[in-house]
Amino acid sequence: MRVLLMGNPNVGKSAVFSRLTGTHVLASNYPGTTVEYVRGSMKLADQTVEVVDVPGAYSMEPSNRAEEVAVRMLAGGDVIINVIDAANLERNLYLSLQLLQSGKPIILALNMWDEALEQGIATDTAALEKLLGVPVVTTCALTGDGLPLLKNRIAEARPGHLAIPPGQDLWQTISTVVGKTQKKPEKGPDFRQRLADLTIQPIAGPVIALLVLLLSFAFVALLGDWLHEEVMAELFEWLWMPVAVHISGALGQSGFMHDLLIGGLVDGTIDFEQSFGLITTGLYIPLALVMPFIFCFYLALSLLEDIGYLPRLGVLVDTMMHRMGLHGLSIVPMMLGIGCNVPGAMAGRVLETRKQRLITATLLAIAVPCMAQQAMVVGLLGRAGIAGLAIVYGTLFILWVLLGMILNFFFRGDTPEMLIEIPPYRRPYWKSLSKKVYMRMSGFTRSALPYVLLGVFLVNMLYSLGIIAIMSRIFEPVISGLFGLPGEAVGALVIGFLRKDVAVGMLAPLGLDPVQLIVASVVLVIYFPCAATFVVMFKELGLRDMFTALMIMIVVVVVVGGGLNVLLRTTGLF
Amino acid sequence: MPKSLIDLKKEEKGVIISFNGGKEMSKRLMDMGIRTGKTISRVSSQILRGPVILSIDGRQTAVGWGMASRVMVEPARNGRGSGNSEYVDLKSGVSRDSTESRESFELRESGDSTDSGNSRDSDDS
Ligand SMILES: Nc1nc2c(ncn2[C@@H]2O[C@H](COP(=O)(O)OP(=O)(O)OP(=O)(O)O)[C@@H](O)[C@H]2O)c(=O)[nH]1
Ligand SMILES: [Mg+2]
Repeated sequence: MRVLLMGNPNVGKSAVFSRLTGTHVLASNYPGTTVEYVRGSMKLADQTVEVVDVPGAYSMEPSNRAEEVAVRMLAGGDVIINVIDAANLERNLYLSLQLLQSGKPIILALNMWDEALEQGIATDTAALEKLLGVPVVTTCALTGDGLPLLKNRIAEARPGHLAIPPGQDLWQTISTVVGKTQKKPEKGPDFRQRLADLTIQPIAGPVIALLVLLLSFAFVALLGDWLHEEVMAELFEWLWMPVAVHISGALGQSGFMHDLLIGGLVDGTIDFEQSFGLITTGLYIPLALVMPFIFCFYLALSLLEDIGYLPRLGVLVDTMMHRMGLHGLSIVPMMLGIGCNVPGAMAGRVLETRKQRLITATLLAIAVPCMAQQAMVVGLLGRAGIAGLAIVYGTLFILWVLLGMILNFFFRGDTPEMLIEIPPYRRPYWKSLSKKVYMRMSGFTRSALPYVLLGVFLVNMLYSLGIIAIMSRIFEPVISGLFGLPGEAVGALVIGFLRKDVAVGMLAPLGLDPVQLIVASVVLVIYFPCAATFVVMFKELGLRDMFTALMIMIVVVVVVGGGLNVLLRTTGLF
Repeated sequence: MPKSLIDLKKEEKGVIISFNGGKEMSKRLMDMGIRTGKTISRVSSQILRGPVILSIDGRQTAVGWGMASRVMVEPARNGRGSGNSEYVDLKSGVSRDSTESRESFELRESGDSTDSGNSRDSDDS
């Protein structure tokens, strides 16, 4: 048996799914969190049934990719749990009636029941059950209230018997149903609401947004750096160094195995940042250098998500985004992309047109560095002062805007106007917040750790087989002529195909000057997506559009990398 | 006198009477519950023709400026209750007042809804 969780966006389907199946999926306070269905299972009267978390939809006539998935899923379901926002019954019932017309067995979950009660909304669930002819259960997915009952009553799910007279508008029926079952207290915006609304007012809004973004940035940079320096680096030095030294000694301090596991010794000792062995730099990069920043970033992002700030940020940047062929909602894929381009590119599915998805994916791949890469750049360049970092970020931001405008000009197709529900601000619930950060962290270690190790392994192979030396000689003219980098930097560009953080790490032993570091960092951000991003881009865009994106990328890296090199050298800024 | 959503002042209320746009646009709006007969109030707008934010049933939606300019509303007379035509009882065609007693919940009708077939939405007037 297959049970589908369906309903409008942002009503808590994913939260219900996590509760029912014990499999945690991302739940965030904005419409369009789930863009692909997720399967799980639960026990139902000693029978295992399949449960599917479906992307949210407003109606059965899709207007974006995520909704298309929802419509396709419907046919394959045996029972539908229609999750509804109890505080917004009327609008939610529109989809419910369409689902009822499918003739599938349905059970209604009136979720967000806690909020409905708090707002003084009185709902007669028994009457609703009678009118629609399907079981109705009230739930609060945040605390789990009502979920056991929902589970128990799944067996009672049945096709509804609400007969809609032919020719009658669904909304008329809905008004009748709502009129008979729910009463909302009439009230204007109170003080709290007015305060909340300040964040989307013309002047206060952007000021607050700037503060929020600056604070988040400072939080990630400062706390991340502290965690790296004072906690992880220290831990490695105390706990891991003795082990590594021991192994190094046992391997006789040289030879192929030693180079592979420990790497090269710097002044006779192991340097976690530069040795480039599997158990030295291979572990140090992901765990000590990158993870602290990933943790801080996801903490900040998850907080903003759960509060419900992202759609408001989208409203504020909408006008600017239209210049770039996008609309405000594209801020969501961009923000997710700062963590990792992969979920960023996936989130592009909530955008309506091919043009928007293409521009979003191209901008992500070219101008939005992932957190792992940023952590390495900050580590490497930060030592030379804040100015170098400012140039890197400034260049990327200008590139992001300009490239967006250029793509908007060249890509045919149109960009619809923004139409998005702004969810109420919600108090973050620490349990689900920490669960979410934990999920994202373990996702990072699971997917990044093997790739980083593979990257370090390849670096060693390429070096010891002399391939890097050959490639350096071949590409020297381009790399040093154009970007002013030494020939060995080609190694970083090669590994960049796999993992960008390892690639940036490879710059460390090269002894580059500040200008070279800046140019190399920017070039590594732009020039090619990492393997994982490459795969999703292909899946989301298809071969042709991905090829277009890659061509653009090559042009951009030559222009920006070369230009930056010339500019910084001739102005003598460094 | 009807005017478009963008002419509505901040915090002013109005009842949606029509859409001056294509079918596609009105369908998308209707799917999200923004439809004729609903009372909305404007929460804010952005500079440079940014999205208009409206509140409907206590929930906010951001609507692009161009789209908003094609949503026609009848400004609600202030003072008289709230003009919340969303609570129109279709059977009687009379707006239900918030003072109405909770008794109405006792209206346990059978599932058939044919009684609402001959009712009219209040926006016809
Ligand atoms: N107060 C309260 N918040 C809830 C409840 N259920 C979910 N939430 C919160 O509502 C937000 C949306 O929940 P999701 O589970 O992501 O919603 P969804 O329906 O999966 O949304 P999409 O995937 O975007 O369609 C999250 O911030 C949840 O933590 C509830 O019963 N009460
Ligand atoms: Mg979801």
